[in-house]
Amino acid sequence: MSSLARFVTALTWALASVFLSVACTSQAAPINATPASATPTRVTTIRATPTAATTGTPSAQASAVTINLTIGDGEVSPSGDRVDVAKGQTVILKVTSDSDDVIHAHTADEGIEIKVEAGMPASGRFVATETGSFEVESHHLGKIFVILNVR
Amino acid sequence: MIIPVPLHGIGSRQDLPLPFSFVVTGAAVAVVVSFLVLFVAWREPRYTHPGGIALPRLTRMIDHPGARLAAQLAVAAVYAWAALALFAGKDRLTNPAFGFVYAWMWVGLVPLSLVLGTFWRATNPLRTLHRGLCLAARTDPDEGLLELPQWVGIWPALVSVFGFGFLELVQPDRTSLAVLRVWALAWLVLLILGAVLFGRRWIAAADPFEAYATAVAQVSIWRRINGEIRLVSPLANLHSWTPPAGTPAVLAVLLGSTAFDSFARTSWWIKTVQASAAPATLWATAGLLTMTTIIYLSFSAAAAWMGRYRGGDGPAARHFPRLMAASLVPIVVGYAVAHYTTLLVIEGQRTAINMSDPLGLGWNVFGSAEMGVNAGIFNHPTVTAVVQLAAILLGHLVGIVAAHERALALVRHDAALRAQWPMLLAMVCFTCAGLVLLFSP
Repeated sequence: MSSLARFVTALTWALASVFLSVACTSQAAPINATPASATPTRVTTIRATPTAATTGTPSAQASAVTINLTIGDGEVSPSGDRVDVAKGQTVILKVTSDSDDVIHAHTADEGIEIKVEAGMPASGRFVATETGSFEVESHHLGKIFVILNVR
Repeated sequence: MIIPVPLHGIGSRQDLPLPFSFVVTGAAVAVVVSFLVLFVAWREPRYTHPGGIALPRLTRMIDHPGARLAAQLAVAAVYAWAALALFAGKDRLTNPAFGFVYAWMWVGLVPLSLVLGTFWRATNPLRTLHRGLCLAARTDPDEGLLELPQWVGIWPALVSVFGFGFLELVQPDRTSLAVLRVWALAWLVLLILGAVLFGRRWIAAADPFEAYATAVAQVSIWRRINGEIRLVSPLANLHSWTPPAGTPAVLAVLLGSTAFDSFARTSWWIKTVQASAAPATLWATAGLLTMTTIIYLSFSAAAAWMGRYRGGDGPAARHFPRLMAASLVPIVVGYAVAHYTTLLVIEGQRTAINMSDPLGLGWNVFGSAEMGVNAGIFNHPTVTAVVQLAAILLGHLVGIVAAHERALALVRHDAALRAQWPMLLAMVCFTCAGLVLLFSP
């Protein structure tokens, strides 16, 4: 193949790839920082719901993200889901368990612990002050409930 | 009840996932650049001679026996301090031994080798220890009881690198002193014993850190040619490296362990493993093995394809995977930079802080015990995402150019295009997989 023919072939393939990727990008939802009033969208079976009245102003202090955690028969629910949280947003964890356990929510250098007893629901809240990806897990089972993506 | 507490493990805070648009753009760029290189790049090998600038004064400085000894003793002292923390310290998060092994050693060796070349091999504390023992015993460090044949190459390192991958990703309680002590002792004993048995060459053949560091050093700007240090281009450096036997397998494990580390954080994996009755350790071992095997097989198949078009008077086709393995090194480096830079910055600082108090007695030997970790890197997720993307793409670019150059030297001139496309495809797949893993669905 002559040098010119090679170049044209390469360019054609290259442009085709670029057009294809641009087409794909325009259909995929870009991952933006979740406005405080919206439910996280890119997750599977998450039960996070905003609890405070939302006025449309994206004030991160205005509403909170509630996540219901359940432990039953050695299984955790949710299991490995991603939750989008805005920086500065309050996160409320409500736990029900059929066995004694301790929930660890890694938040930054430190984290918070929620002790839960069998049959007695517990809850805890914290403000997500640091950006990053954090795990919320059951310490005794060593299983991850959710991963908080704080932006 | 809520209690703010320091929790277990290191690296509990991770980078945010790469935005999806970054993944697609990155993949597109990788594909485009790969095609351009395949079709438009040079057709005659360019790096037959490494060239570069000779540095006789630097060579004299570095080869000065006093300088080498001082560097080796300094590095050995650092390791001895960490060993103090490991074997005599307290089993707490604040023990610097964990960060020393998982951040400073395993991740730190990448930038160290990129910048300083074969510094690791020159100052490996195992070599220093072995030399000390041989001095006391009046034996020659190069000679052991048996001779290690040439074909052994770095195959023993396959076992030790996989072992470290297992420790890093699968071993339960890997941030507990009891576990780390056993592994550290095993490493020390097996390597020193092997060195006594086979001579110093065993350390190059079996030490996972030295094998990793030596491979990364091939992409640095330093090369020793006929004993003299020269400043060369990384591509020329890579091209003049003849990888020892077993290199494709070792690089496949390195790439596979980084890839599995990311894959184990995906929602699908967590959900599947947690819902399964099989123990998590089994899943993780299988995952690590599978990732490694996929990478090894696809790379070897692509190299075998190339072997069909070998030039008449060149190396035999069965050597092709080993000879082409050099082009995997930039991809390994790109992956490591993208996945572990944040860990190095954060846990690296934490380790430096904790090194002032190795025994947990409240010391402040280096004055760093009261400092806090600067976690500012997490406040710039977009910058981090861009750096990760750039690292993977740059690794890919250098890798395919290196593969192209090597292929030109190995295959028939008229088959240059036909021979290369499976290798190119394999590398594009590795790169796109790396990007998707950073997106961590």
